[in-house]
Amino acid sequence: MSRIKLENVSVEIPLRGLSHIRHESQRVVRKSNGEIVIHALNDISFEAGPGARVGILGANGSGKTTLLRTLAGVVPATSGHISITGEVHAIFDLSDGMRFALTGRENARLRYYLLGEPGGSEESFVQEVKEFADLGEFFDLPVNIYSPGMLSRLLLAMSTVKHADILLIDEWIGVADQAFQKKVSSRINDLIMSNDVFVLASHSRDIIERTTDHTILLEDGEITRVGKSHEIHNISS
Amino acid sequence: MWTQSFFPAIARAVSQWRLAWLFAAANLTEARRVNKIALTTPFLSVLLQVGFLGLVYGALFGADIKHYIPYLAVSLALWHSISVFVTNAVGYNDIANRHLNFTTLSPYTIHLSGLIETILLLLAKMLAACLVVIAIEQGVPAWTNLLMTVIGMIVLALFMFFLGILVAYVFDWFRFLRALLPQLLFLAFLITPVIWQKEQLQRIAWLADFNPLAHVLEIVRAPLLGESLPWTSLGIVIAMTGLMAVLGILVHRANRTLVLFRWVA
Repeated sequence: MSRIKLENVSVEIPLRGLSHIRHESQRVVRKSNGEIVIHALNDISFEAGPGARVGILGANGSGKTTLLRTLAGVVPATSGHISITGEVHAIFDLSDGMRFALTGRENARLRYYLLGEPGGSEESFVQEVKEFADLGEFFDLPVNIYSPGMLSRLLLAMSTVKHADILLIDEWIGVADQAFQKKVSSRINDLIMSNDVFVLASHSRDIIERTTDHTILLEDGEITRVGKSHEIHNISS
Repeated sequence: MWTQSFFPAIARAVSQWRLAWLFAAANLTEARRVNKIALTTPFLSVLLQVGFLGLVYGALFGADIKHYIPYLAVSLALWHSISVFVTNAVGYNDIANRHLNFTTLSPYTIHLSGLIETILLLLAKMLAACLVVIAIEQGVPAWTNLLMTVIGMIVLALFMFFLGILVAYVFDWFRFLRALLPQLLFLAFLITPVIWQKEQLQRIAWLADFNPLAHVLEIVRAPLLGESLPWTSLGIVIAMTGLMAVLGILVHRANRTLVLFRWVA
């Protein structure tokens, strides 16, 4: 049974190379050892079990991405306890790991192993990417000749093949191509439905309301409100 | 996977050998497509350098060309590979940072791919060096020497792997050193028996024994040139590899912080 549990989790991010700050604040402070840090997250606690669809809403710099990266195990907690049961698939930056001198097929092969060899063979992964991206002969040409639209197709196809128990998405994924956007939305909805736990961080109240059941409102690295997503318009930030 | 401790992270990197291989192949493919540099380039560069420099340096050092040219060929092949590896290892933390979001990736898979790439380059260079040795010595080295050369290369690969971890950490922590790297490598090149031979130091030849890099080169060079495996050098390189592994454990946590939280100013 997949589950996420955070208890009093705080995350500090050291600002390496910064020797002085003009104004200290509650979030940007100089520690006693002289190190300047941002209190990115402060005393975060929440739990999400099977079937949970959680939205994280907040302004820029509120700590949404740090929270997702902490859940993914990318950023360690400075204090508190994190318990994750189940396999995590994080979709943060679609272009991560992209090699522009390689072909679409070569990038798909590389992505298969970067994702930790998700279920199925390398061939079936590449085939699925090829069919979804629908790039025709361009799939076997170097990516650096792709148009932005073609590149989006490939990136989306590679990022949404893997199924996992816990899906984390940082900002909703959109493309300019309307026909492809339908295909993408349908694919992501399937991906969400096939996961036990889904967590989406976004600026957009509409998207959070549409895709999640519960919403956590983050402000300056702290949870200020928790509520049902359909009541999101009543949650003031 | 930066939450793993040192040896489990190393073990995971080894289990991700296929990905490391694909990374290395991707780097070589990119170099070929973007710069038209393939494995033939390092192969030819050794032949060209030995052809031109061998005659010049041989005359300069008053060396016996028949012995000096094969020595230079093997030395240059090894030195170039090690210096390219060190230069690349300086940026491993940057590459690891760009792949942080792939949560199953071991932090050392990047290092392993760099090592694989270096070994491929080294093999291309060593092939050219072997051709020089065969042409001048007029015969293929004995199979026992070839076997000992392979043993030397395996130890060299392990040495470079752990060296890469320390280089990535030190050059990330003391970032000003990055600007000094070419000068540091040139200094190391000058004080290491690459283009000159230890015996040419005559009375102070023992000084070369205090240079760890001299032993690193010797464990591959000596058997390939028909000498016996230098057990002392082999022991020193294995001991240095062990020491670097211990240092790797000590810096693992600090290195994790460097990779996760990059410089902001």
